[in-house]
Amino acid sequence: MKRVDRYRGVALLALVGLFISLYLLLYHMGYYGVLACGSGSCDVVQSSRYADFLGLPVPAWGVAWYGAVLVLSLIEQAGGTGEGLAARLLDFAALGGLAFSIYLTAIELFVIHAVCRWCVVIALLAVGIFLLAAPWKGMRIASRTSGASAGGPRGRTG
Amino acid sequence: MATRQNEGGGSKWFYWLLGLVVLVGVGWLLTAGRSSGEAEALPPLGVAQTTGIEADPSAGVAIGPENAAVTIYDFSDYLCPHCRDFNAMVGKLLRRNYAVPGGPLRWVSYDFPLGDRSFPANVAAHCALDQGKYWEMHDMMFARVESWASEANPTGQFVEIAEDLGMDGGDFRQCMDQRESVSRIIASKQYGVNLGVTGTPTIFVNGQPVPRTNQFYSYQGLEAFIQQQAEAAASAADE
Repeated sequence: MKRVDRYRGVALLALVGLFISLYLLLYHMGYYGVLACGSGSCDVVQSSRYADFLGLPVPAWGVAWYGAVLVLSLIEQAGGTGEGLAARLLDFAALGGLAFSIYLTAIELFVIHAVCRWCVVIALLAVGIFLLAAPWKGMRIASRTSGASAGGPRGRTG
Repeated sequence: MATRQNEGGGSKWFYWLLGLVVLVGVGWLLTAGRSSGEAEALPPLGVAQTTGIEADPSAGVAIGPENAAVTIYDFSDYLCPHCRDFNAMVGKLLRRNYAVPGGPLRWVSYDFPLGDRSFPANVAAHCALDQGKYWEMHDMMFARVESWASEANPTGQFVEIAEDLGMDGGDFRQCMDQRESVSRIIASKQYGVNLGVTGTPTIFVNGQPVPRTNQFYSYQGLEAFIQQQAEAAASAADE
């Protein structure tokens, strides 16, 4: 798959994730009615103590993360070289997003014992973004570039 | 040249798709709000009556005059964080200020355990009722939920709370072990199910179900209604 297509795929997945995170954030804020505890697993997850992370609702982190990934991937697909700051930030975001999704899924499975379908979708999107962003490729390029820089003019022209 | 044309076509296709996702997403957020609000509106009283609204009102625990201007049914779960907030910020204050002898409010608390883990707390509340301390226990179990929620068997924590509230620990523990209130708790939850309760907290004001989008889930909203009803009742009595 071409690099530009991968970044476009990332942008589309991030946009979907952004809307789902927005929905969950509005729900968390009570926009869709006063929060209630129900027998559904989403209610259990959203009303658990793990629904906040570092003082902010988890969906707010989702909005910020998917928003950032969307912007970075749009920058890259529009003419990035895959070696600039946006590409590197996207690599780190993809890695961080995957790690956070694994953490949240583990909390749902082993601590809360309830799985929210929206959280599953969000986690799958993060996995998809990780696979498409392929940060390992970016890191290989970065290490090659730094190796070439260390090697002087021969590396740069080679 | 051909490659650049392909990239241009791909780019156009990509932006169209992006725009489509934005449209669908915005539409979804707007309609999700509407449908969610409708789904939370419980059936009107007339429908609920035919499905047994008056079937077992005695399963709840009441405070306040029987002939109060306003009667509130409260279906809550002790492990539900929103019930804890609702009790601390609304229920407890309203009961203290208005559900008093000669006051305008009667508050009826119904057990609505959402899962098996909540059940011991409901039993504890009824054991406290036996010793005349139901409301104190009710409020304290919500307030101290962090101390007992993670326990597989929280009986020890409940006995501790009961003793802190001046109850006889031995009698309380015996009551917890006998679990004689279980059928009443189930009857209470069943009453809620018959009324259409699907989540907690859910309140009914003068028999009318209150959707969770309603201002009645705030202290100010309920207080204004209680005062208005009390004034109406007083002027009716004067005439």
